Amino acid sequence: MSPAPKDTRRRNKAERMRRVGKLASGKFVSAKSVPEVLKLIIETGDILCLEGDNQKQADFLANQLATLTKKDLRDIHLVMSCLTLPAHIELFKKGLISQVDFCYAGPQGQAVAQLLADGKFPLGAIHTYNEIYARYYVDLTPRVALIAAVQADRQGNLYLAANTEDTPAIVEPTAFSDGIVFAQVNEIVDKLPRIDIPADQVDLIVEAPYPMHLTALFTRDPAAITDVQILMAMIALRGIYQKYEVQSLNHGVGFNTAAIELLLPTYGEQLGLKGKICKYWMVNPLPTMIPAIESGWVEGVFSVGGEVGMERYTAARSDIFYTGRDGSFHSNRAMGQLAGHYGVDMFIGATLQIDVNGNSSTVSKKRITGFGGAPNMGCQPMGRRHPTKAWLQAGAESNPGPGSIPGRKLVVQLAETFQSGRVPTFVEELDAQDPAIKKALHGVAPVMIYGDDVTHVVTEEGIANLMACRTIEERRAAIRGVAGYTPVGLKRKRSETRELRSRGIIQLPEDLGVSPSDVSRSLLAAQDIKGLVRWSGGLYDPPAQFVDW
Amino acid sequence: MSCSNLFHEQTARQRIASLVDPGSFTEFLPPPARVMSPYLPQLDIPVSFDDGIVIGRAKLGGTPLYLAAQVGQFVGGAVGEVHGAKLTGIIKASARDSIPCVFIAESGGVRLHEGSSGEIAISEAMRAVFECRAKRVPTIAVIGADIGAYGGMGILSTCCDFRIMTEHGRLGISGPIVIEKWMGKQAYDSSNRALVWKTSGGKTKFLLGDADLLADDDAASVGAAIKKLLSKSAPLTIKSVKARQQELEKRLKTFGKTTDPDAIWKVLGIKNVAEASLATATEFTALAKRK
Repeated sequence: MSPAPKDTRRRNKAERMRRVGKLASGKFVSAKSVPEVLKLIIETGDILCLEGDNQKQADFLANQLATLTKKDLRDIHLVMSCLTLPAHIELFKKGLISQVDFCYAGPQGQAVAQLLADGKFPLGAIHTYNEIYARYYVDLTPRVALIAAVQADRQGNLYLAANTEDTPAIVEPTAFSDGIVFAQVNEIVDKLPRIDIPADQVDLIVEAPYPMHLTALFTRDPAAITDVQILMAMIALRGIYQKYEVQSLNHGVGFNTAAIELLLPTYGEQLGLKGKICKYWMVNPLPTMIPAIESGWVEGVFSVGGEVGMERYTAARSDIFYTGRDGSFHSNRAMGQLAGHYGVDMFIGATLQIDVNGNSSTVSKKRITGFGGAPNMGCQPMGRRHPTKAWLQAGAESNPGPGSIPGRKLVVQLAETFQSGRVPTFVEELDAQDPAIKKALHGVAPVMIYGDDVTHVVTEEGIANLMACRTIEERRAAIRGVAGYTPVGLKRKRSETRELRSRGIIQLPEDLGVSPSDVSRSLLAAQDIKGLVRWSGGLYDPPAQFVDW
Repeated sequence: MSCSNLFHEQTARQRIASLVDPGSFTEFLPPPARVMSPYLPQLDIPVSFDDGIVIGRAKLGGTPLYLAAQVGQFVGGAVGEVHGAKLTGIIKASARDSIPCVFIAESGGVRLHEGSSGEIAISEAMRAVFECRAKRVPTIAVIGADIGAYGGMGILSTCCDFRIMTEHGRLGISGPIVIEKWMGKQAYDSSNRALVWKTSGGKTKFLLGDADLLADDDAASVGAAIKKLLSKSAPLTIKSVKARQQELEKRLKTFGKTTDPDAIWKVLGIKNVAEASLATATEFTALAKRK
C-alpha cells in the first residue's frame, strides 16, 4: 500500500521546473525552445490541458506540442474545451493520447468521427463547458495547462483583452494544485492595460511568433437573413417574448436569433414591447445586437467571450457591457455559463435535428461535434429559487405537482422544418441514437437538449408548447403539428392537431396575429454589415471577410 | 412574397414596380408569351419564361420611357440570343420613337452556353445604343444590383449617355474571379470584398467619372437620379471621344502603378476614406466635389 499523499505534487512541480533550468530566464522562454520545454515539463501519464474553445486558441503551443513524438510524450490524458485545430487531431494520429475528455469539436467534428471509427480516439466523455470546468476541480485537475493571453508584463502578469473565455477556469485549478501554467502571449510589454491573471499563477511564458488564433464566430451578416427566418422571428416575438414578457435571456448564435435581434427596434417597437422584454442578456457581443442597444432596448450584456471587431463599440458602451479599469471589454466563459444557467428566464437557439420527442442534437454519423455550452443553458436549473414573472407563468403552464419546483425556465428551440439541401430537421430518431455512436460514447447518446427540458418548439409553421402537454403522446402530436412537410410532420393527425390548437398548445401564425404577407426584409433594423456599422456610429470594425467597402 | 426596400435585393420586376409611376408599366413579351432560349434545353439547363430579362414601356414622373431590367437570378443575368434580342429591341424602339431608354443591368456578360449568338446580341445592342445617341435620345444604364455589370454588359453600359450607380453596383469588363485567375491571387484577390468594391464599386466609379450619378440603395433615390438625366444627352462626336481617350490615358499615367485603392480615393479628394466609405450617396457626392 502506498503512503497517504502529503506534498508529492509540490515536490514534483519543483523538480519539473528545475529541469527547465536555464532554458527559462525567469518565467520567460524563447519560442525556439518550446518543444524542449514541453518535453521537460510534461511527464508520462499527465493530465494535460490545452486551452482552446470555439473562438480563442493557444495555437502556437498546440502546434509545438504536435511536433513531439511518442519518444518524448506518452500516455497523455488530454482535457480541453474544444478540439478545433489540425494540431489537436495530430496528437491522436501520433498515438500520444491515452484518454481525452472534452466538450466540443466544431471544425474537427468529421476528423473526430473518423478517429473514433479507426479506434484512435480514447474517449473519456464529452462534456458541457461548466461540466468540464467543474471536473478540473475534482478528478481532471491538470498537471500542466497550456494557455493563451494577449500580453504579459515583465513580472509575468497576463492581459487577456476581450477574450477572457476559459482562461481563469483553467488557470485556477492548475495553479492551486501545484500544476504548471504555461502561457503563450502575443507580446511582452512593460505595462499591461489591466491584469487579468496575476503573475503568481503563471509559471512559464513564451512570446509566440504569431498572434493567437481568434475566430469571428458570432458575426452574422444581416444580408443573409431570409424571409422564413424573419417569419419565425415574428412568431417567436409574439408567441413567446411578448406572452411571457421575457426580460432576461440567452440567444444562440444563428441567423434565426439574429433576425429577432434586428426586429426589436422595428417590429418589437410596433408591438410596444420596448422596456418590457429583452433587457438583460447573457450573450457574446453580437454585432446584430447593435441596433437594439442603440435604440435603448438593452440594459446589460454579459458574455462568455468577445467578438472580433466589437472592441471599440463595447468600450464605448460600458453601461451595457462589462469592461475593465482600462475601459475595454471583459468576458468569462465559466461565469457566463453560470449566468445563463441560473440568471436568465429563457434560452432560445437553433439546432440541426429534433426528434419526435423533442430531443435535439447536432451530431450526425459523419460528424461528432459534442456539446459546448448550450446544454448548460438549455436546461431547467433545478437549483433556482428566485421568482420572475416569466418563470412563474411558465411554471404554472407546466402544471407542477406538489413535489416540484413552482417556476420553469423557457427553453425554446427555433428551427426551420428543413435544413439546407432539403434535409429534414424533424426526424423520428436522432442520428445521435445510432448504436455505434452510443457505444463509442459509453452508452450516452449525444443529445444536446433533452425533450423534457424544452418548453417550446418554434418553426415557420407555428409554435408547439411542449410544457403544456400532459402526456408523451400529446407532446409528439404537438411536435408533428409544427413539423411541416417533414416525414415527422406528415404523420400528424388532423383531429389531434385541431384539438391541440383549440387548447393553445399549437399556435399557428394567424393565431398570433402574424401574417406571412407582412414578412419583409425591410423590417430588419439593419439589412447588411454596413448598416450595423452605421448604427454603431462607426465604432464597429467588421472583420475583412465581411467588408465590401 | 416579401419586398425589400433595398434596390440591390429587389428582383427585376420589383425594381421596375418601385421605380416607375404606379400602374404605368406595360411588359413586352412577358412570361406568358414563353419566348425562351432555344439552346438551354439542349444542354439540359432549365429555361426561364422571360429568358432573364424584363422589357417594356412605363412613365417616370409622367415622362414616357422604355425600360429593361435583367434578372440576375437566372444564369447570372447572362445575355443569350433571346435575352439580347429583347434588350436590343427595346433600345431600338427608343431610337425609333425618340423615347429615353433605361436599362437596369444585372449581368456577368454574355451567356457562354449560347456561344457567339450572345456576343452578336451584345454588339447589336451596342449598335442600337449608338442609334439612340446619334438621335440624341437619352440612354441610361442603372448599375446597382449584386452581380453588377461585367463583360459585354459592362461595355454596353459604358456606351450609354449616362451611368447611375449605387455603392452596391459594380462595373467592369473582366469579373474579379477572372482577373484573379489570369493575374494571380497576389495581384488581385477576388475574395477580398473590400478590394473588389474599391476597384469596381459604385463609389470608386463615381469618383473616377465612369458613373455620372451616385444613388442610394433604394428605388426612390435611383428614380430621382434617372429623372435628373431623362431630358439630357451626352454628345457623341469625334471631339468627345478624343477627350475621353485623353482622360483615360491620364488616368493610366496617374494611377497605373497604384496598388492601394484607398490611395486613388485620396488623390481624388477623399480625405477620410473610412468616413466616406460609410457616407450616403448625397454625402459622398458632396465630399467628392470638394477635391
